[in-house]
Order: sequence, then C-alpha cells, then structure tokens
Amino acid sequence: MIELANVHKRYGRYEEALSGVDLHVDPGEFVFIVGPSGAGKTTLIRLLYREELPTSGTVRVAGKDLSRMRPREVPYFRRQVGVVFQDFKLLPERTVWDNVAFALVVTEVSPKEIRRRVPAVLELVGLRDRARMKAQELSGGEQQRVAIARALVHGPPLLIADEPTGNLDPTTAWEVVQVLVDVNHRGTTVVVASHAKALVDALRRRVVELAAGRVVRDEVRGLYVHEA
Amino acid sequence: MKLNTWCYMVREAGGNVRRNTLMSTASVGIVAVSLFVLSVFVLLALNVNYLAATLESQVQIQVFLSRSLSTAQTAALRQQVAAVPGVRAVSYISAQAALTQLKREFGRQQDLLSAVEQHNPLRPSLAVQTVNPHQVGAVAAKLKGFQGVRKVTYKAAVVRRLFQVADALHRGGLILAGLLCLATIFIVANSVRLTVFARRHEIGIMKLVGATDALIRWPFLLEGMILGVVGSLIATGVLWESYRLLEQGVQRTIPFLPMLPSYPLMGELAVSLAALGALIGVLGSSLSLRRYLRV
Repeated sequence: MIELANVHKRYGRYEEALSGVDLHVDPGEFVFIVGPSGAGKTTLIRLLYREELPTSGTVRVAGKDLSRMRPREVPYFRRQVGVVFQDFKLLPERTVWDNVAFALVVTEVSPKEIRRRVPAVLELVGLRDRARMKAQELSGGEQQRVAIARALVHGPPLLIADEPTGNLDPTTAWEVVQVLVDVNHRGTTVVVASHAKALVDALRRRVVELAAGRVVRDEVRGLYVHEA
Repeated sequence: MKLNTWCYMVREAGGNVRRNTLMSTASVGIVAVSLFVLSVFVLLALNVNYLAATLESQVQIQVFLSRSLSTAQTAALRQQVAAVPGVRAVSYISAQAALTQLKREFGRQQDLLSAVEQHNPLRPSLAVQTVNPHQVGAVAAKLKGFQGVRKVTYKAAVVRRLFQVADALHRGGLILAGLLCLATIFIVANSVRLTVFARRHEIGIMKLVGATDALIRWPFLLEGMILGVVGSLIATGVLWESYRLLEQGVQRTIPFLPMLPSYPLMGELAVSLAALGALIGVLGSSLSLRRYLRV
C-alpha cells in the first residue's frame, strides 16, 4: 500500500526534514508514526497524500509513483486516500451532512449516490443522529468523527491521520481511535501520526519511530517508547 | 461536466456575489460605467459615419442660376450642362421648389420661413449628379464658366471632413475604452480575490477531498462573469433610454440631421456589451485565480 525508498525531503537549503526514510506498509495494516516534534512525522504524512513531493527517493502509494504523477491526476489520487487532521478542517457553518456530502458534491457524485453513501458513513462513525446539526455545535470528538466520515466517504483503501487526537481530551481521544480501529477492521489501511503515548501503548500496533528525519525503530506490536 | 455540477457551480457563484455585496456592487458599477463610456463613443462614431455616408450619396453639384434667365434660356443651359462629359443627370429646381424643400427640412419650425415667403430669396438651380463622386471637382469647375451660372457648390469637402471626425472618434474612443476596460478587469479581479481569500479554507478542503482544478476554478470564473454581464445590462439599459431621448430631441429640434435608428442598432450593441462584460469578468477572475489560488 505504501512504499518509501530512500526518501529525502529538504526545505530550503540546509534543513532536512527527512533523511533517507525507507518504509513499507502492507494493505490492511494499522501503523502509528511516533516521535518528538520536528522529527518529520508531518512531513512524512504530507508526502503520502502528495501535498509535498520528496527532494529525492521514491514514494509509492496505492500503486502510484507520486513523483511521476501529473498534476491533473492528483485529484483522482486524493479520492483514494482519506486524510484527517488535528484541526478537523470542517466547514463550521454547515451541517454534518453537508460537510460529508461536500466531498462527494465537488467530485461530481450523483445526488442519488450521495443520499446512499452519506448515511452509511455517518452510521460508521456513530453520528447518524447528528446529521442535521451544524459542525460548530458538536464537541471536538464528534467533529473529528465527522472529519473521519468525510475522509471515508469515497471508500478509500488508505486513511491517513495527522495527530487526530491532538485537540481532544483523553476520553474523546479514545473514542476517535476506536473509530479508526473499526475502520481498519473493515479492511482500510490506517496510518496515524501521534504524540498520544497512552493510545499507542494501549493498542499495541505497529509503531514506526522517527527521530531527526530517520526511522529509528519499527516494531510490529510496539509501545510509544522502546522497551528497555 | 454533469448538469448537477453546473448547477452546483452556478449556485456557488451566485452565493459568492451575494456574500460579497459591497465589492460586487462596486465591480458591477465600474463595469457599467466603462461599458457606457465605450458605447457612447461607438455610437457617436457610428452616427458621424452614417451622416457622412448619407451626405456622400447625395454629393451633387448645385448650380445656382441667375434670376434673369428666361424659360427657354434655362432649358438651353440645362441641355448644355447635360452634355458635359461625366454628368449623369440634371434636374431643375425652381426657386419655389427650393423654398418648399427648405420648409420640409425645417419640419415644425417652418413658421420661421413664412416671413420670407412673399419675397423668395432663393435662386433657381440645377442639381447635377456625376457618374462617379470623384469627378465632382472637375465637372464643377467646367460648369462655373457657363453663361447664366451664378455660383457652383458641392459638399465633397464637408463629407471628407466628417469621415475624418468619425475616424478620430473611433480611434480616441477605442483607446479610452481600452484603458477603462483594463481598469475594470483589475476591479473585478480584486472583487474575486476577496472571495477567493474568504473561501481559502473551503478551497483547501476541496483540494484535499479530490476536487478537480476545473471544478474549484469555475465558480470564481462564473462569479466574474456574472459581475460583468450585470454591469453590461445596466450600461445597455441606461444607453438605450438615453439614445431614445436623444433621438426624440433631435427629431424635434434638428429634424434634417440623419441619425441611425435605434433598431436594430441597440440590440446588436446590447449583445456585444454583454459579451464584452462577460469577457472582462472572466479575465478579471482568472487574473485573481492565477495569483492567489494556484490550482
């Protein structure tokens, strides 16, 4: 699903955010990317949905070489990859339904199909009864679940989350992670960049640790910090 | 693209225009003023041209005769004139006929002439038409030497001058209008830029969920187009009414001045203005999109 080979990413002339990252993720995996601020987690995530291109090395996602992708192909690629952020990136004035449907409307999905898919995906994140509320009226955890619903509405094989629980208290953070686990159980590959030690330790999933732009640890059933 | 998508984009564009009332109103106003000024020049030039063309078709030599000529002398002179090479037709206009003609041209103001009716100051004349307009000068010079001819005139110089005026109006008008249109494009660009800025958040999400660039771009292009077309409609409305009033005014006061009738002129102008307005709008918004959206 994801294949990074000797990936370097440099901003400006000197600062290297990633220096020689190799990473392989199989379909159906659940992977935490951990590490201190500035280790390169966000840069890695941004490479995965082609917000950035690597300075050198190759990034293959869902079978496509992102460096060779033409700009006009990018929108179609993005429909294959759901992305969730720390700050949700919802349209606060619009309803939950509209926020999720938005992703379909702007990709020219028919109204009939929209009426079929939106309830299904809201059901999945447990927000079926909140459809008519405005996004800004929801709690943080609910807003993040709306964002996940929107990321999933195209049925992507890959879901990427950058600090999805960064703005949430521990209880709601746990709810959100449960949704991600649920999604993973249904077959979607999930990659989560996270600071949340408690969550990472509780789930015991694959952990890839970055430090100063390098992969320093890759464990199948890892903890946030390496066991001594 | 699908019909649904177009509906969505038109809705979005309309929403943008409404949300951004102040700037939209300003843009529409500026578009209207620029197009109005442009059209005033076009109309002026067209009418002067029309006037010149009307006069040109009437270029004929007026040969004013001495009042003392007898009927027989007049007939002889007429035959003599008709025999000059290059002359196509000659017609005799008696002093009385000339006065009647003048009265007709004065229209409602013909009362002004009633004072002179007793002592008709006009001379009898021959109206001479040449085979082609370029011969007018040569033929007129020849006619001047004939016995019984008092004066020879023709309007060629006036016609030439009028064509020059029409030309100058055209050129000056085009330059001024070009500058105005340029300014208008920037105003529309500014208006659309505000919308783009206000919606940058939404644009980011659209890119994220896989909206194509075309779909992101079109609502803004349509927004510019709406501003341009609405502006042109206002310009057309004001212009139409002004031209109608002017036409009535001219008919009342100087009826012999030929003016292009408003139909079909105004219809054609309305269509051109709408197209020009739309073009200005699209150019303006693509300018903003290129600089601020980078999609």
